[in-house]
Amino acid sequence: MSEMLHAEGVTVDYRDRQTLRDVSLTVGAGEILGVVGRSGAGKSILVRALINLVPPPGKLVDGEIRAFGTDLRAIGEAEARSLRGARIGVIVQNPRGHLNPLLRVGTQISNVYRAHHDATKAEARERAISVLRDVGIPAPEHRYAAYPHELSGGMAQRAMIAMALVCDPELLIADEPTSGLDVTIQDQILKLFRRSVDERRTGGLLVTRDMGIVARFCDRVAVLHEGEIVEQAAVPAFFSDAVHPVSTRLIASASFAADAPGPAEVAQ
Amino acid sequence: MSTLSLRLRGLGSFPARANRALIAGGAIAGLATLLAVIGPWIAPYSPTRAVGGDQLQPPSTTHFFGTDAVGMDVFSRVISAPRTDLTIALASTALAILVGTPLGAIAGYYRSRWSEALMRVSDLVQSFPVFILAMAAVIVAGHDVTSIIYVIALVNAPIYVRLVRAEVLSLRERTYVEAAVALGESGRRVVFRHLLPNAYGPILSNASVTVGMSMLLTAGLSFIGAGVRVPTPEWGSMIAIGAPNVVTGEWWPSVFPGVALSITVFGFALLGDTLARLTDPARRHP
Amino acid sequence: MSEPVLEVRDLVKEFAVGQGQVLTAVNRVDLQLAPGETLALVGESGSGKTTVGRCVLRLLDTTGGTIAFAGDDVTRLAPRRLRAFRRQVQVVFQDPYDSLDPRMSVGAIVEEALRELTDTAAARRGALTKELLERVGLDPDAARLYPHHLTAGEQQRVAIARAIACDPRLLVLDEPTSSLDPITRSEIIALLRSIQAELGTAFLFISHDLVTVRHISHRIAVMYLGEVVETGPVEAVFGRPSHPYTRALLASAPSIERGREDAGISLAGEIPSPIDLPQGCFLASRCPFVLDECRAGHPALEPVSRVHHSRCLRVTGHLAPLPEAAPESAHTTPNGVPTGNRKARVVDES
Repeated sequence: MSEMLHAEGVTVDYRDRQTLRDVSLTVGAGEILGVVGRSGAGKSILVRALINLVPPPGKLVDGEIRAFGTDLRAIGEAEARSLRGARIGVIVQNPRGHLNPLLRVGTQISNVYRAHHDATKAEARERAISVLRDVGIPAPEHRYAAYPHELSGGMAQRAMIAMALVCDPELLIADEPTSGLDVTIQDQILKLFRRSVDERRTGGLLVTRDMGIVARFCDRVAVLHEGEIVEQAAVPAFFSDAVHPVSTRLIASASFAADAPGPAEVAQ
Repeated sequence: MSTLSLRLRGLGSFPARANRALIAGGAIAGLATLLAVIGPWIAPYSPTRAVGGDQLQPPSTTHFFGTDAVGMDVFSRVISAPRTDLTIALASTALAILVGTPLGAIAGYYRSRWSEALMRVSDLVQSFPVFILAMAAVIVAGHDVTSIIYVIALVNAPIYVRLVRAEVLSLRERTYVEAAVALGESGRRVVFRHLLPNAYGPILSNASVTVGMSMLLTAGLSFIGAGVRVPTPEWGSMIAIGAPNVVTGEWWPSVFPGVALSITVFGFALLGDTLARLTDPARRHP
Repeated sequence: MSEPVLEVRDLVKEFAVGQGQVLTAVNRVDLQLAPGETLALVGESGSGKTTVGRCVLRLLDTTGGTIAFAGDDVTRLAPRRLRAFRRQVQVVFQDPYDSLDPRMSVGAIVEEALRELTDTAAARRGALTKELLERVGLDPDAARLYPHHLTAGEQQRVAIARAIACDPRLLVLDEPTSSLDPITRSEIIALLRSIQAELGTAFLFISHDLVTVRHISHRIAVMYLGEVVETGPVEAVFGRPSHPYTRALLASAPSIERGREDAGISLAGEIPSPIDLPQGCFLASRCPFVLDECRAGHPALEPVSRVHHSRCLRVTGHLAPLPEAAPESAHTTPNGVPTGNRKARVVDES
């Protein structure tokens, strides 16, 4: 099975409006698909639709979603949950809201691990600490015992990423996982993501606003515009031959265009 | 900007979705207010005069809600009571808000020793058992309606100091407050133009609760004899006077004012909650 | 060669954090800004760039140093002069929705700036508000709308209209585009540049986003742990980055032009605590080029060329020069860029 994720004709209605229209995409093994678009294009809804968790009043009205060949819409909630925690990792926006404020960060991460693995507490703890280290959290043994409010925003975000990675998912779906993080940290996390996809032949879907991230870390890219995929291409070709106006504007806005201001008349 | 012009065209067409809670709450509060004005006039009997020989009559077509132990018409008293109960509740709530809100806003915006002291004083008032405080104050200030209003306002004001202070503390972190300072606006203007209006919602929804609580407190004070003097029609004192009869089966002198009190408190709670939601700018200007 | 609009000298801002400890957010920063010029303050979280902006706006009191604006020291302005100062220095913040009072209509928000900061007669304010809205690319009828009716880009236009209502000489832009999508971001940048061209406003542009900085700035000051570590014209800092921190920052930002290529240079570990500042160079604990001497003496900001300064002992000739063949030198030459036809090097990370 080389296809990790296969979505076809996914359509989501939100009240009387269609927020996603006939979206089809695939993520193969060893591949990262980048999803880009303007704000309001439906990127975050797409992420939720792909794991069959569209928040009401939105409704997944049509389409087929297969992960590792399993039809996500056909299986029961219990089966879906075990799939989501273990084989599909999900990183959503606003990570702090997704950490339980009453539990230590490390406990939350090792709980995820133990829910899907037959591991002792000590083993789970060791695993959690090593993932925390991977996502660039300094002194992870110390941070393991911290409560969410004791972490900075960037640190909490990295803890959330660690939680999504702790089970070594075969498919990682991430919605702007590094937005707001410093570039040096972002670089470290996305390299980790890329390396895991390359080495373990897993799959990734990365929603981002940053065309540089697409160029650097993705293999293919899908451009979402007003709920529809308007262009899909392999990465080097996309940047040279994109045709849809939204694609070309996205590319242009992220380049060092030649129209930067001229040398300043500096008072020195 | 085509979507913008679309939104412009949509302006002014407020969705006329009927809000049942607002209608129900408004109807109850409106009826109570109406009765406060005209209740004593439309009452079939005098609400304060006992009819000799007519004690403890059960509800009938002559006395809809029956008569109480001294022979006063319960129906006439129930519909006359809002004049006392509502006046006390509304006036004391208004007074509590009037005093508590600016104090809370100042305590939240200017962090100084004075605002600390203010918070400790309101702690003190709040930590005192409400009934004992109210009883003590009524004993000192006297039994009339005005002093009951002051007492209940005093008990409730710290709630608003605390509530508004908390709101202001969180609102002052918003960037638009900083933007206002950068525009050179004075502290007073920032507080009254940008901070307080954004705290109206919580104040309003709390006010409805306070109106209800004040009514219950008034009734409670009357019940223990520290409130409005008999025979002034007042739900709490009616419940108190009728209570001994309930055990012997004559339930009407207590139950009717009790039901009236509950419905009114509930109606104000509904109204306040809905009004609070309506002050959200996203709802007022859809 | 005109007089600078803004001259910051030796600016220090400390915060007491309890138990007698002091957090040094800004550490002896010098900056100059000429009329009509854009100076970008760039750095990661904890660099102190936003604190510098707040001090310049006098939203924060300073601990030391001077901030000269039009001959006055901003740090000790009397209330009456402060008002005159506010008429000349305005601000646009990062989160456009949060920076607009949700209970005020767009028109009321802009009119408030006219009333507070200009001598416009009340009768003229409505018309002027519409002109300002048009100037920032909004339908003048948007005056009737409320902030929540607008998209983030439109909200930011309202914030810009409010800021330029008094025709300020200096605009502090605190990450004004980092919450916007790339297309909206480039529209706002184009708007800001046209405003600068028209009004001659000087911009202090605070950002962590290197693409945006490249598009709008004339000069750039890179901050790390409260200090300026490198400053110079934008072409010099981007084209010949000298300080290891600047090089790491540029290397970490992914770009279309560099594509898959890994620029190599990266910083180890975490930014040190601003409460307990290191002895020597602040970057020593993370720098891939660190020598023993770097941990001993604190480097000064010294010239690399006439207009380009750097705070690194190995750059300013005190210690053995940095290895020339550092991997990141690859992106200082436009050749070998995958897409070929663009000169750009670095892309943002918003």
